[in-house]
Amino acid sequence: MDFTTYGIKAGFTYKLSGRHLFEANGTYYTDPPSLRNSFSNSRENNATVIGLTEEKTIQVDGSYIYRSPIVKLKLTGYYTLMQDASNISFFYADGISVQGADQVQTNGFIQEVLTDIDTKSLGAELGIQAQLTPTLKLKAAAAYGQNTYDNNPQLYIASNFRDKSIETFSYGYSYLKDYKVAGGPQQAYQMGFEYRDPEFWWFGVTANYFSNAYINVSPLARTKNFYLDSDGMPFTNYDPEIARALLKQEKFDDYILVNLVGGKSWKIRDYYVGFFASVNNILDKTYKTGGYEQGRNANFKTMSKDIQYDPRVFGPKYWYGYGTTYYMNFYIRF
Amino acid sequence: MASCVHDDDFSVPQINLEEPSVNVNTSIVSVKKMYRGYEPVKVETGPDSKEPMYIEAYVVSSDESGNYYKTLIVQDSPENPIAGVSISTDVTDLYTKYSPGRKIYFRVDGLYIGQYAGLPTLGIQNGNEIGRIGREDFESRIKRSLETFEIVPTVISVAEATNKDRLNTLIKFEDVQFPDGMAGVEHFGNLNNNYGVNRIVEDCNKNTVLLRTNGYADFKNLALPEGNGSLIAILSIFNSDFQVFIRDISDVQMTGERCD
Repeated sequence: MDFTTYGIKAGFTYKLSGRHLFEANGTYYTDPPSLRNSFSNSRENNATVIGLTEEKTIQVDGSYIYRSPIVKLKLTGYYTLMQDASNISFFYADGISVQGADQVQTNGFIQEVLTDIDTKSLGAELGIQAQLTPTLKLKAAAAYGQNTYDNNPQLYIASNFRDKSIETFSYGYSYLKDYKVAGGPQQAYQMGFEYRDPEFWWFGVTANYFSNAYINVSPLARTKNFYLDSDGMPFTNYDPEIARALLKQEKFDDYILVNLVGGKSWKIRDYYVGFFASVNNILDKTYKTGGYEQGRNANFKTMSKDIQYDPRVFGPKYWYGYGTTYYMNFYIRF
Repeated sequence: MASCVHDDDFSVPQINLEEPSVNVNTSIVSVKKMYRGYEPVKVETGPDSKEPMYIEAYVVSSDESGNYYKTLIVQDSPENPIAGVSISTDVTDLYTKYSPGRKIYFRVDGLYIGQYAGLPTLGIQNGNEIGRIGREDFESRIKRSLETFEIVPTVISVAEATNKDRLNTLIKFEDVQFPDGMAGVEHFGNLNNNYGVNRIVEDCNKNTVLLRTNGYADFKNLALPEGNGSLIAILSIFNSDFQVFIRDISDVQMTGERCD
């Protein structure tokens, strides 16, 4: 495999005055696919991903910066396109419809190879800081973004198929367009203040609101495999309305985290002695930070069945954030 | 270039498939004619030929209720069929793929055509009888069409239920009822065991036919309806007795006024 990649970058800053600044940047670059996403199953064979190519990234952003002795503000808008990426997942799947020359296979340990993935993210960010008095500072930030799949990538599976005449089996498109790309909340807002006393103690409180975090969807379940019975024909009871309910991307609940931080220091002769303490998630909020749909129930039939169990046998996997955490640090500086 | 994507903007895979390409070169009628009585006969284009032979057929039976089991009954047309045949297999839950009305293509060469207690049946050779086609063999032989049709039952009188050409086809009796003393009293099956049971169905001229219910049918403990009405069923035979099987309880619509 041989990839030649390059990148170009341009940017400018325009200073309307000392207080008002404008910035703009644009870049285009190509990256070789990662090693992990280049070999479909390097433990077993030397097969490379079919249709592997360089990943392309186009990125533009523009900012407005305002600076005064009291208020600092930055407003940024961005737009990023990433194209032709590939991704490999390994899992055991029930409910695949693989038509070999002599044999039909409906389950197995597979490598799910997704190529030609385009994603798009756009959004705006705002940060404001105001030094209201020499001791009190207010700060606020907002991030409003949208990170979505921008096309329908190609999907094939590789496996040690029982039918030796095939090594890979293509399902064509994985209908991912307009699903959200997982990876944390796509909207976040923060408000807080910081108080610094002349007597060498300080504390600050921030409240953070996160929303629009989504689960990582299973690409195989978004291919035609979803409606194919073992004979390569659609399930007789396939209902696009029910399919839509099964394939809707889970949106995680919004959550608010309140964090407290403070400290004090003393000067004793030439030494500084102090402590620093923080309490994160004071409200002890339970929240999902991420998760993914398991690929095991790859079709309408197996997923419809699994969803009837409570809890589901092969339901989504989640990651959770910590409850209230306490941190304290003492120090002597010399 | 940039627009808001909402949570419901995604689309689900839409069915986009092609009809299986099958060269249909024989029919249920032709295959049935190969049978000469007594032991089953191998279906082939000529002696020792391996040439594939496909029939086109329409499913009329359903094993969803349990009244049929390991049997797929097909006829040669969705309406006014000329012939039907029973396919004997080891496969269960056939209704999940081959529901009533589904058009199928079925490879018949290498199978045997014969009779099971008088009923024309396709299967494998099992001594002098017709045996069940194994799962893998069956699945490699059957191809589902994308099309499903409404099967229009042929309306016949109870007296006509002895026509062997109508065996394995969907028929309909009108203005029939269960006899006095049975209707509303007895049940489709026996309440206290899982044996198959015959119930008499009569028309207003006292012509009768047997309704056979499998002891594992999911409606077998229901009481026989008291009214008069229609009965959709598949015509069958057991040795010298003509009998009919319903697919499920919706085939029985007897809510009208009785004729007594």
